[in-house]
Amino acid sequence: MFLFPSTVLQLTELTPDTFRIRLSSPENFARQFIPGQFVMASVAGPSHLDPLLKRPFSICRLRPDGFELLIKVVGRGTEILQHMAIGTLLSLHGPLGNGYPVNVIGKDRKIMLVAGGIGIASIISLLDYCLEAAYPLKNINLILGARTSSELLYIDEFRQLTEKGLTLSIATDDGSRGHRGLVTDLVSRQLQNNAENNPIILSCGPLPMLTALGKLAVEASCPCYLSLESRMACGFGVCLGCVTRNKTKDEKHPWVKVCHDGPVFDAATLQL
Amino acid sequence: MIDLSVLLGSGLRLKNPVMTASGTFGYGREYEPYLELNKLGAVVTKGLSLLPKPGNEPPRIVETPCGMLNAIGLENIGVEAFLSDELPALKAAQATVVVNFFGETIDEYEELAEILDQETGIDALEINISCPNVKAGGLQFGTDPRMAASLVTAVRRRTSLPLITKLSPNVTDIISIAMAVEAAGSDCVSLINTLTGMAVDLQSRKPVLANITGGLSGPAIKPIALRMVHQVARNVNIPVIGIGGISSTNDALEFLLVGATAIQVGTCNFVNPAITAEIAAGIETFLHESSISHISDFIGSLQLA
Ligand SMILES: Cc1cc2nc3c(=O)[nH]c(=O)nc-3n(C[C@H](O)[C@H](O)[C@H](O)COP(=O)(O)OP(=O)(O)OC[C@H]3O[C@@H](n4cnc5c(N)ncnc54)[C@H](O)[C@@H]3O)c2cc1C
Ligand SMILES: Cc1cc2nc3c(=O)[nH]c(=O)nc-3n(C[C@H](O)[C@H](O)[C@H](O)COP(=O)(O)O)c2cc1C
Ligand code: FES
Repeated sequence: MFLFPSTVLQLTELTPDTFRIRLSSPENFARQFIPGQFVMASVAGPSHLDPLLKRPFSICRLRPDGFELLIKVVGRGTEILQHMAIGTLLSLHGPLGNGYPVNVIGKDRKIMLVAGGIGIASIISLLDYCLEAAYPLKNINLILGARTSSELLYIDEFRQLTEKGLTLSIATDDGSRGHRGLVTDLVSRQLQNNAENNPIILSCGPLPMLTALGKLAVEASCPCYLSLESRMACGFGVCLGCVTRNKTKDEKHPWVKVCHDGPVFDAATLQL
Repeated sequence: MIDLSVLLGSGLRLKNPVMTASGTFGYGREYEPYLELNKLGAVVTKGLSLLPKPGNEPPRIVETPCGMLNAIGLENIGVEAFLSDELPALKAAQATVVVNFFGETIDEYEELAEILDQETGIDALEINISCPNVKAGGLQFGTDPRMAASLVTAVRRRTSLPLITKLSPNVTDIISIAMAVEAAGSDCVSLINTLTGMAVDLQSRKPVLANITGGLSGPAIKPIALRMVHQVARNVNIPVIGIGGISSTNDALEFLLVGATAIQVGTCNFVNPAITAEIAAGIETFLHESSISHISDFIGSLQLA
């Protein structure tokens, strides 16, 4: 884990409210990185006091000169980042947290990756890992959810992978592409069709989606790992601001820290 | 050689005036990847209670302009786990250790002081008096001079360790509280704790924090903290530790200038985990450049016309 000044190398608008930002990183950054980990990033230059706190973002993709984040504009901090000039120095902290349990996913295992909205940032890091480690694409089932088709990111890239065996399913709220409805409809259908060969589910997205997904997985007795979000002040376990309830802990002290014990949790341990 | 050391009462000499504020530095060990704990004036632990405390429901934090609100609810591992699992690492790091603690009754404070007094490796105690006294209908110990004084008197009897009383700013007259705890035997006062605040969400029409209110900290509170430190330092004869919104060497120097003997950095540790070490180095550079060889010559040197 590093605390480092990072240069904005590139910023690309993907939709009116999402963008990709490429940032420089120290030499050994990539070596330490586990898919699903995040960075805390300042959203203003050094010595700016407002906004004060760093913001958590999933590390989406490693690049030869650094890494990329995929960001959706939802408030002041992300809006400032969206207009950051190339060459600006940000203050970064990471990689932080525990990523997806990549070492327990066997190559013969069916893998279901479920991404809702900007949760795709975290899922891409996992997909990249699987490609790099030569997981057979025919075992990977990528399920994407978005409000509308124009918010589906990286769709061409995923479609190219379907030619190599990846299964891709899409749900949009308005039905402008793929299934009209929720990603969990797709998940539940696919789990029923394949009841004898349960996949391992790995997911990142809005909390209501994760909650529904976790319940489905528990019912189907599928192993399931969910990447949660929480308001964070520190990102490294010291402020106790980001806690969520965990079933494996005793009732008098039911909390785990999303930043330090997560952000990826075994769904079976969460109070869904 | 510049002498950065400061004396907090008779028993406690810090190698420099930079301390960490309770609740923002974990139990110390979490910061070892970023700095050397023994380069700091002192490490102040998360506030401890007799038994572990679960704290409040989330959401517990929200950012506000130049600061944040927190309602952690004093979650901590309890004194027993601290002594067995955390203190050894602090000792191994040769840190100067100040243990912050609190209770819900005077008895609880006394029992804690006694337990902590018997340990080696603890250099001082900081009493958090911004806690509700359950026997006084939940009124905070720190909001009434008499109640604050009787608490300090009781704790004083149970320990010979240097005692720092941490004051709440949510009072009409902080000077009277400071004077009362001085008279009751406190070796130092530290101020300020967080200011009670609130944030609401217009869309849901709900409070943002599950606890409804929370404590405001960060650069937003610095002018208030500076004013209170200035006032208290002029009215007590014991050392004052300045806390509130310190984010840079200059901020720290400002508190020393108005009369703080040492300072604590809180919220800004979250933003830059190495900031306390950077401020300690920054103070040394400042004194060197100003040709001041003893920090004590700078402390309280504010020029009032
Ligand atoms: C581990 C982790 C990884 C993340 N990865 C990404 C990523 O890859 N890409 C991305 O775009 N975003 C990601 N996020 C979310 C991102 O951190 C927030 O969107 C960002 O901090 C918002 O900052 P802001 O200043 O723009 O918004 P603010 O102005 O702080 O808030 C905007 C609005 O969102 C609300 N809000 C903010 N945080 C939360 C929260 N945690 N829960 C509920 N409401 C909240 C606020 O109340 C406000 O209404 C991640 C979060 C976590 C915890
Ligand atoms: C998340 C958080 C937790 C805190 N916990 C404690 C605590 O347990 N005991 C205590 O005396 N003060 C606690 N404080 C108050 C700080 O020690 C400090 O007095 C206050 O935050 C003002 O300083 P700052 O503006 O530098 O943060 C806490 C503050 C924050 C932000
Ligand atoms: S964000 Fe501070 S403990 Fe998790």
